[in-house]
Amino acid sequence: MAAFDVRFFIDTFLIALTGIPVTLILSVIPFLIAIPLGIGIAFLRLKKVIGASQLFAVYSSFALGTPLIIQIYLCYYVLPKALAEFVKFLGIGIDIYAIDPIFYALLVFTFNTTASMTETFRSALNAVDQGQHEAGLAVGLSGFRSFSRIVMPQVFLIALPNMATTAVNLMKGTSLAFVMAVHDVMAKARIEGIYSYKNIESYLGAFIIFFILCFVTERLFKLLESRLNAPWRKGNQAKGGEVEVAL
Amino acid sequence: MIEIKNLSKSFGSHHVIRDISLTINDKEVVALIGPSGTGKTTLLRCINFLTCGDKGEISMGGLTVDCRKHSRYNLLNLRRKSAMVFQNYNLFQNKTALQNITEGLIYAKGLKKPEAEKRACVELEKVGLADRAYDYPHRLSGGQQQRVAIARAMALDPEVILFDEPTSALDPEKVGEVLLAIKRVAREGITMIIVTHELDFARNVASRILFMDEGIILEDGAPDEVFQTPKNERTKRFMQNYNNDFIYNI
Repeated sequence: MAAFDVRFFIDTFLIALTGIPVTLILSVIPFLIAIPLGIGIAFLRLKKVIGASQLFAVYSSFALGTPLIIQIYLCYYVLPKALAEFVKFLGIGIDIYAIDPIFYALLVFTFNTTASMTETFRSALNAVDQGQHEAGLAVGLSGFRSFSRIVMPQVFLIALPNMATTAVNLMKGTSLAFVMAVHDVMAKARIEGIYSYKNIESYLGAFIIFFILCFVTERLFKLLESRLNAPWRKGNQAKGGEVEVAL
Repeated sequence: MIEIKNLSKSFGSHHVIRDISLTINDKEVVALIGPSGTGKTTLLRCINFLTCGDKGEISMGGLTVDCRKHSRYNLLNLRRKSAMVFQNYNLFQNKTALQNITEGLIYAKGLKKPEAEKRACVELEKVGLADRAYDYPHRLSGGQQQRVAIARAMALDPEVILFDEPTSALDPEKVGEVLLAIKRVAREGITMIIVTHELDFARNVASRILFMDEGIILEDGAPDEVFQTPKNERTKRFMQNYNNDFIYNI
């Protein structure tokens, strides 16, 4: 076995770095879409809306109960074919196969992340006492106001640690996008490795980049948590007496 | 004036409220007493539609809302005419004592923030908690939280304040301070409906007692009347337990 090629390692590392924007796109966009969708679905499930509740329960168990790689393969191979048939049926002259594979990647990651986000918000919504919303209604806030001003701030803070886990899982999951011919960090490193037969050097580069990305993501969430970390949480030192009582 | 007309409510096959009609006049302090699980709290919650009755009508301050067909707008207006004090306080956990009071003043009553804060401070002063205005609920004792909740209800200047077992979650030491705060509210001449198990307090503060059992109001009268000369058999039995002085021999 050849010795570790430092020169090659640095070169592939730099190439892999150029995949970061794609990795970030694949992480950030599905995450941002998943938040409102997750809240909405969690709400429907908690309200036990007939039909929707069962539908999304099945959705959750599909999305979370099957390997991501299979979801990716299914989405990548089945969906274009189905769409092409559909387009042919409608008689519109769109070439489905010309669509950038990144859209399929975004679709599948959103599909998967929304399910995790739904579970995150479902438990967080459950954790906030129903009485908080009732008290909001009782003082004359509208349902929406009570929900957005009283319930949701509490829900978000409870959900934040799980949201961080979801974000890191999503980011790690995007490394599978290479099977869809999306050129993210992993794909770039892999291509270099395959052509040169220097797999260790190439994958080590991807390893380091993903480690840093995930580490930074986690830190960002920690930072956000401490920023948001309101003095109203139990166990936090309240900053009472900071402001003079204006009588 | 609050008018409840033919109100019924059942949970599944369990009839919690059976066709209750009731008129409560302005400035009346009504204590709603009776055994546990007889629909007292449900009746109270039906008045501001936190629980929606199956049928019947609620009228308050010139607004009549039918249980079977009500618009969101009507519910909001009805709730804005009333205020509620809950058994487990239900202070907004993410708001300070002061913000708990200003929240409704700003977003339901449309007051400007400085005005709302001024009003809130006055109410906090009344319940003796002006110095805790900037504390969050978890920093306050149960009794203090409930006093803030009373201040929150008072600040809204409602037609009626609904008290749902306001002292049930408190330890005996803290019950006194909350009852005192309620008494003060009563003296201001605000209409109140109090669901309570504190019979002494009910007798002392209320101008009218309602005794409820199995979803029906069995007795309705002045405190002395209901406590000393109840007409209904069920009320008599209930009052016997209360009037008897128990002697424990050890």
